[in-house]
Amino acid sequence: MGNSATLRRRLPTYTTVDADLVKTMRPARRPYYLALLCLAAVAAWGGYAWSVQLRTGLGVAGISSPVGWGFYITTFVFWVGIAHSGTLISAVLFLFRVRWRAAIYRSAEAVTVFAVMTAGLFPLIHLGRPWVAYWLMPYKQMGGLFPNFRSPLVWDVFAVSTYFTVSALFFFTGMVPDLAIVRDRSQGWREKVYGFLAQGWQGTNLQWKHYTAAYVFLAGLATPLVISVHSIVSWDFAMSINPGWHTAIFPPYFVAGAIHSGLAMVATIVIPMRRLFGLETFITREHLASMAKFMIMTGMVLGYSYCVEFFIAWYSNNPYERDLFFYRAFGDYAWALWLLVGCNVLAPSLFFIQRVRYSTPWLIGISLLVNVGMFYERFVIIVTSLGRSFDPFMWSVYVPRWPEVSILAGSLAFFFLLFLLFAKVFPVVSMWEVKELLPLPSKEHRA
Amino acid sequence: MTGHSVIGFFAGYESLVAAVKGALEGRCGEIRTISPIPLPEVNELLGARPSPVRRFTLAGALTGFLVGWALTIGSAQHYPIIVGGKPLLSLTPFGVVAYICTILFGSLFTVAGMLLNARLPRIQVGRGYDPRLTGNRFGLQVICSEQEVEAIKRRLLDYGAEEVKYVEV
Repeated sequence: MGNSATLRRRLPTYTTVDADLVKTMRPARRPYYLALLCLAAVAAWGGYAWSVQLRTGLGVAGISSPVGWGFYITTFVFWVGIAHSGTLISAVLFLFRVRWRAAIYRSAEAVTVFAVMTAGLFPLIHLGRPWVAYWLMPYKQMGGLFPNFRSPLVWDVFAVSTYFTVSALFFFTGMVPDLAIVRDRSQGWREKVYGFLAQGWQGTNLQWKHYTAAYVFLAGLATPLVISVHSIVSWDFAMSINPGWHTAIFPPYFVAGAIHSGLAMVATIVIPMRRLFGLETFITREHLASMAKFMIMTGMVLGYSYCVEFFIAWYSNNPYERDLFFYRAFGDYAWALWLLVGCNVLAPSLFFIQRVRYSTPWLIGISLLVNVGMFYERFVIIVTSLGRSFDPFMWSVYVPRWPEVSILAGSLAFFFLLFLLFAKVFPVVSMWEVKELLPLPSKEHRA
Repeated sequence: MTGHSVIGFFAGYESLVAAVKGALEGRCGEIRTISPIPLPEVNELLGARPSPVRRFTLAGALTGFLVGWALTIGSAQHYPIIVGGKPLLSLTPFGVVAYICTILFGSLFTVAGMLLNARLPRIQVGRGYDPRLTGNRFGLQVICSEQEVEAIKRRLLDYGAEEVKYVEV
């Protein structure tokens, strides 16, 4: 209620909402183009690294037996995790009628769509021959053979592609009334382009009726995906018998981690965007503090999951599990484990302090730490279990090589590049939903 | 054949509701509102029935569920090969695919249902549409006969419309 009260105090009219939010789409200044150029250069460098790998073969990367899944799959899981915030904020919080979501859900949905697009590149990059990636598609292949539907890797193809489709539908559908607002305030070619994207939206009672019904159903359908997609990603690991992977806690543990990292990425993006576009009236410190509170919860769930993993390894009395977890805590990658515990559990617990929660420098700093921590969480899970499996003869230490690091940097640049483009082309805050939070205009209090 | 209509522009929500009630009582003909936000109360006044989009969602979800099972079971029977010692018809893993297909098809059908029922996409907005109606004004459009146009204009002004406009439909 406090959030809507803030909006009411500062946003008395519908006109201000439109004017202030359409203003964010005005032609950009030089620093924006400079940022685009830098990001495009880093993304291109990542593309070059991939091209080297394609021409030379997977040998240029650090992955080899037994650590066949290194940075690429770590990065894939990282980006799929990042993608979870959007659906959580837009769909789950919508169903629970959480009002603070209205100001940030559009950006969160954009994060989801762009993160899934980035994630989708990594299974291709990881393939030695990406040009045959279509073999994963469910169609009758050579000799009448279909993909193996008993494999979690095929479930993953279904889950991630469905997640992308549903998220993109939800993202675009939610934007249609706002595109009509932009159309009505544009001229020339912009009016034509936004007119095309708005699909002739007018806002008649008939259109709103079907639109709001569809929105609720899409939210209802997207909500189980928040749980299922990362559960299925976790089954890529948990379905195998590798020590450190074959555990029932993986699905909830992965889902909590995904939401944790997703919220951190949304905060990382929304805080500078709010400052640059002057959106302080719409995205208030209350909204950011609400996200911080959410991160306290997800951070604590993760902390609990880390403890349970170690406890079960000890309690199981399975020597392979015990050895693996001892290795994680004190072996070659111990630094990564303690780093991730610090970043994912200890750092967000600072949000218990109100002053930290309401401070944007603290918020962005802790969110960046969580992003780093979540990457290393996946790295530790993947690399230690593969490098320290049953047979000591096979044990090895994985070190990423320059193409892997370059492609990781390129993926980050690609993601931020997409978001920067989005922020100038589309409204970053949902205008019609912010208007819904305002009191309905009356004769005395004219819109 | 060309029809006739009058659109009234309202700055206040209460005036719009009063005008809708008045138009309903006066049996003015087909009525529709145009607004920057959804107005469920006005829809109730207009006696709108629940959106049929839910039926599309259900049909899509059921289709997806069946497609998922058909794809997995059908492909296993088409090329019977035991993999990893698992049964040919491994229902648990196949259920995962069926579940995902349920959501995928349900979502696609929902959007299709919304577009079909809301008569979207359209190349152009309808006649008489005014950009103020996505911004800060509420519109009430009354479809009527040529003889009723002036009377309806007056009535909408009486209910507090700032402006009225004749529009051919």
